Amino acid sequence: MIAYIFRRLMYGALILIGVNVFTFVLFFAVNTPDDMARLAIGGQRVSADAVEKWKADRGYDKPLFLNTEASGLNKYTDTIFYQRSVPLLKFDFGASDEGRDIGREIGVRMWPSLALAIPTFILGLLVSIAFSLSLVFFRSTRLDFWGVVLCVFMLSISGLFYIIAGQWLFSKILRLVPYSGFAWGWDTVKFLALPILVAIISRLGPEARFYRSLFLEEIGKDYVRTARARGLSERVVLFKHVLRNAMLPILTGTVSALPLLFMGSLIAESFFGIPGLGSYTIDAIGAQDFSVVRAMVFLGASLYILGLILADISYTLADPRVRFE
Amino acid sequence: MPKIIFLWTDIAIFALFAATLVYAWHVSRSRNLRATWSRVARNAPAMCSAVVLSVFVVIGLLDSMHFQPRLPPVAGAPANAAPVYAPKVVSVLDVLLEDTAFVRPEKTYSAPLAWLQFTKESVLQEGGAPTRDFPRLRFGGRHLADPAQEWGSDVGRRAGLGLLAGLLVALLLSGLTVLCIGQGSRTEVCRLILCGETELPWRAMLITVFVLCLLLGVVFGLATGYHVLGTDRTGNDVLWQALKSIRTAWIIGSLTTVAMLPPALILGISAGYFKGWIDDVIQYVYTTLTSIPGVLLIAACVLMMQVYIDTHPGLFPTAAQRADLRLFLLCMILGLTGWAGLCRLLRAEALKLRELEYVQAARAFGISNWRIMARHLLPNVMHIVLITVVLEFSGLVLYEAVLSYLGIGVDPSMNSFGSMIEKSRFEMSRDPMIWWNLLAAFIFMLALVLAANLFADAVRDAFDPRSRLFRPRRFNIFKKNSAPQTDAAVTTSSPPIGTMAAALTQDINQRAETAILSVQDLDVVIDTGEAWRHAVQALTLTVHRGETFALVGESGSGKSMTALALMRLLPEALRVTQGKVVVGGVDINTLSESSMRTVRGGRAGMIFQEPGTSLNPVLQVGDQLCEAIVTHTDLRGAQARRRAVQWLQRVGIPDPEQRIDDYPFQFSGGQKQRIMIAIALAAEPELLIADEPTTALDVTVQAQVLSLIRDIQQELGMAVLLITHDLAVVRDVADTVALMRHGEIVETASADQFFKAPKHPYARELFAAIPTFAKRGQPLSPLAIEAGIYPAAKLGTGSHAHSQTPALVVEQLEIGYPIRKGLLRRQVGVNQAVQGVSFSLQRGETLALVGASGCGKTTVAKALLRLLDSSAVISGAARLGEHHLLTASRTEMKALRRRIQIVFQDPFASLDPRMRVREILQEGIAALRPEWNAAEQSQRISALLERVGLPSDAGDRYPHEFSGGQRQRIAIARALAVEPEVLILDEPTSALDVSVQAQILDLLTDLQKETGMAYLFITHNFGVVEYLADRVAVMDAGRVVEFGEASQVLQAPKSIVTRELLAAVPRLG
Repeated sequence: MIAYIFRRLMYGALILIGVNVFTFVLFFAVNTPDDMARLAIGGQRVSADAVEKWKADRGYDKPLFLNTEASGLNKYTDTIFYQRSVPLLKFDFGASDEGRDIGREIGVRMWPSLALAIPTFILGLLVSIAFSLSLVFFRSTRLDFWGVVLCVFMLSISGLFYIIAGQWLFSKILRLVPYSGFAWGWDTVKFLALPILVAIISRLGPEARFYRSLFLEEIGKDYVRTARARGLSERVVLFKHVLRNAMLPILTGTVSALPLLFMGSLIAESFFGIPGLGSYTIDAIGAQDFSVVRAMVFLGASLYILGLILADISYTLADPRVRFE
Repeated sequence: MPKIIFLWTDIAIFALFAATLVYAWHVSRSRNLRATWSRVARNAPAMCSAVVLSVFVVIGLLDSMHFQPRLPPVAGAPANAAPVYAPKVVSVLDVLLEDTAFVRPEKTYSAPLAWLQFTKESVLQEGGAPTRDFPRLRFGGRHLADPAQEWGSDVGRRAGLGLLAGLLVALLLSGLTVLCIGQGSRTEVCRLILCGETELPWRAMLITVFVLCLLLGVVFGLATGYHVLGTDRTGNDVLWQALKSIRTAWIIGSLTTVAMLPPALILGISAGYFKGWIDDVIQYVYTTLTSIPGVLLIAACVLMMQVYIDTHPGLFPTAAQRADLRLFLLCMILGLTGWAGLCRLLRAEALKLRELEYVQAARAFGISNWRIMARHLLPNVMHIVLITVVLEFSGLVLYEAVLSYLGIGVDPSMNSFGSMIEKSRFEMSRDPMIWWNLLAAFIFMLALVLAANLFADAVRDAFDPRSRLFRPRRFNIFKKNSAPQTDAAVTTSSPPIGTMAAALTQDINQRAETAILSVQDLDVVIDTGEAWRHAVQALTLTVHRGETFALVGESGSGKSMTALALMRLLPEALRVTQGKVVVGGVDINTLSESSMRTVRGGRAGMIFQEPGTSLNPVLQVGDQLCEAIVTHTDLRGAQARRRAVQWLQRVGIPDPEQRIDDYPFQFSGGQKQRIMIAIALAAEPELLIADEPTTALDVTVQAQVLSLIRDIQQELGMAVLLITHDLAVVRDVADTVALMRHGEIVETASADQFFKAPKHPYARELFAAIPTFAKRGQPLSPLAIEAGIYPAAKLGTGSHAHSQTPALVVEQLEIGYPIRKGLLRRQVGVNQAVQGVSFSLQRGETLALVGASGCGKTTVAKALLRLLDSSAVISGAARLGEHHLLTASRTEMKALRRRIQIVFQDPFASLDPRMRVREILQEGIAALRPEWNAAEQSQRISALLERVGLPSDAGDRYPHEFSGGQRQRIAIARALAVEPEVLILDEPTSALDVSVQAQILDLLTDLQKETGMAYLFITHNFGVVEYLADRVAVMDAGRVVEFGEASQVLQAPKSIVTRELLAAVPRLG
């Protein structure tokens, strides 16, 4: 088990290196730092001095991979690649193109993101499972049919509409919650209630439908028939046998999504003015701040890999077939 | 002449449209695809969605034909001056709607159907004094002299006229439909459509057409004088923008999936097929890609693209072209970042497919890897590709909105739903609110995405083999105890109980006091998708206390469905329509579901064929056993557990106290079946229904399980209903036998009587078909018995002499699978599957390789054909004539493959379902006989088909149109295509019924006589061995434990393993 986890971690590190190289090529090789400087300063006619200054301020004035002017090991270390990529592997994100410390920003902004993401995630999961289980309990009836219709209808609506409609209804018409903003303390509840509600509703359609198909697939299996053949009630069959087996894939999916909660929600945070990592990312995209985008890409990739490893471990613990081997 | 402009996306969208047409043509030619698509076509929501989608398609296509109109020549310009074109690129759609409100912009916001602007501005009154007021619109309501008075009636008039026009178009279209449907009189067709009785859901589709036409009519009627959905900030018609956005949505949805197909297909299939390091590299690449959050990756790519476009402004002459290129590249980026998901699916499928027998067969013919991937894997994963493409579409349309909102979507100058939503976000907070922009985007997006989703669902249901399992047709047309009304054959075919059944009923009454189970006149129907068919018909039987009643029949005879009907556990596609099932004096068909549960497990226990899947894998066996005890007895807690331990001990599980907390996968197959028996009998029911309880078990385990059932039966005095296909099993255990065929019992008799003098000809046929030692040299099947022998076409030139030159010599064959452990997955050892196996095979003889499952016999066969090269470590020697099989190079092996061929076990898996029989045979011939021309090939194919006894038109049909036995004939024909000297037969009859097995064995005997082929016959069935084998090699745990002449091995076995195996074989005589 330990060896297995260690192997997964090594593989994760390998992937992170791949991500790092890939993003570096994407950001620095497709377009040169000169192009970026011109874009950042703006305008068609940018003086060469301004470009050089912009590059020098941010350390982009070095060669990409190989510094022929330097000597010894510096040939490789005194380059943009080394200066900009290797620190990322130590989770040292450096400064944004605007000159602020990215690591500090992340440390501050991840808390509002989590405050929104964790309740959304847990409540959303519960609601979706409960809804899909009730559909499965009433399968082949009208309730099931219309439930599925509702799911398809709901998943055909863009998430943006849910947010806009929610703000319109609850903030503008009913005046129950503020439009947007964020504050700690009791106010957090007030500010987060609507984003959480909207997120749960917009997830309900696709997730409930997916879980329903998982449950139905389990119900068709032989062991369910055996369970019925020994006279168990539908409730026991569904909750003890079907749910426990179907929870395996659901659990794996859930656990692997956990670390990504740190990243926050891009859309919801920017709509509701929550100063989390999601809105940070959006602002960076809008401002074309490449350092921040790269940092977030790297952070996201690391969290994703962490999620994969957690999912593997949780699956191993949850499924006796894997646990005892 | 205007100047026609081809934008990148125009070319792409028309190429896609053409590709769709080509696919449609392909579907119309392929029977398989036509059948699957017709399932989609019968789905009413999907077809209504298709109607809606086709309207969107037309709009999108019209909007994709771009040109620059020619400007009128400048006054005074010379006649031969170069034509001047307008700087703005317009589409055909723009031209078509020229005179409507769509292309007439206002100054700024105006509400739907308004005649005044939404915002006030300074207006010069006639007197010259400026006032702030709502000005009249430039177009909306311009024609009204006194808008306040006339507006209502004008809107009504225009809407009414539009409605009328829409109605006319709708009527015209439905008239055309009626004409096109054709068959029968026009009034009859109309009646069928109106009643919704047509095969395709024409009524629903026509209703959709009517609704759409009326809606469009009203909209266009109003658009002649007003902005139907108002205008936006820059005064553009909102409805117009929504229409223009459709094209963007189409491009994003379709082009993206096309962009991701090539990498996903090539990498996914290669990874799954080659495995090893190629798989590792591809997995690494897509894991790396998926680990980057999708939006961020797209954002990064789009930012880079933006930098590129901004720094190279000279490359793009017009704004439209720049916007278009940006859209095109966005699709490419979305595709290139999104292929990983599909790639993973395809890899998993390819991993499964490569182990299938038709791929193995292709490799046995030495067909190149790329050809196998193109011919066998690609067509068989296309359904996944299709499902993914249609499912992705709607997701991408929604995704575009998010991306545009984030500013990394389409160019701001391009119309799209995303940019409409983005703009409307701020309009919502204005007071009074501007809602029409958002509403338009909402309605159009919902219509497009909902239609796409419904259509995609239908496509998935039709193409995904898994989804068919849980989509039963609703049985609501049934009335209680009445036959289904859709199938005339069924309604009329509930015949009166036959005389035999009547006699039996009388019998029941006489012995009623001891009858535990009595079934009278039971009918079960099955929904096959198109029609209702009887699975069980007029079935009558009685089982008494202490009796073992055997229900025997071949596959598809309805015996398992009978068993499930007795427990009211029928799958949802089946239903009892008639009859009485009395268990312990109660008719179970009248019981409520909750009282039925006291019967299940309480009065009647049941065990199933597959012990491996019949136990819940994540629950401890004790848990599952206690469930049954707690449900049906008063025992609770520790007492129930003690009882459970007793039961485990009773069924022969060693160390029951410890093992009770183990999970099912920790037990062997035989032990699992013992646990199943314990669960079924935990509440000591009066009746045990055993549905093929030993079919999945090895012969020695089978004997143990059968004797366990017999012992417990004697102990408890219960009745047993044993359901099986194996007459020999019945012989040993049954008191009464009922033989089923096509859902009906054809003969019921006491076991002695049945085996001594079977009355029904079918019963006699079955007995004749069972291979035994005594029948060696005689034909088994009635066909061969009557006709003497198959028509002997001359085929090949094998020597008939039973010569002593060995055709195949295997010496000290060792096969092992590497065990990898530790950090770097280094090979730490070898799991020996086959150890030191040696045997020789003479020309013209049959060598049987027998043994229990998992003893390594199939591994030997695959190793000889070099099918295990990449996965196993093989040593030892195998000589085919003078040539070494195991060390031959690729080219040498290619020549050798002509001389050694294989027939696989499962006739349903060994033929590629997407190839016609002729193509299947030709593939082998073309690979190993490249020197033959087309005429020689087809001559050979015809001769082969005739030789194995298939109809002459078989070549043009697909494998699924044939029965199991016929497919096995095709597989044999394929192996014979190249006249091999050695034919390896890997369990060729174990998936077949005994009567079909008889035909195949007869065919094999004849072929051997004719061609002098040597057979290496791998089997676990001793009957077949006794009947066919000249010599026998018995394998156990990877070793040959006994090898010798058939008579010696079978009648005077030396090894203990052989003796045990032989003793366990159930026998008729």
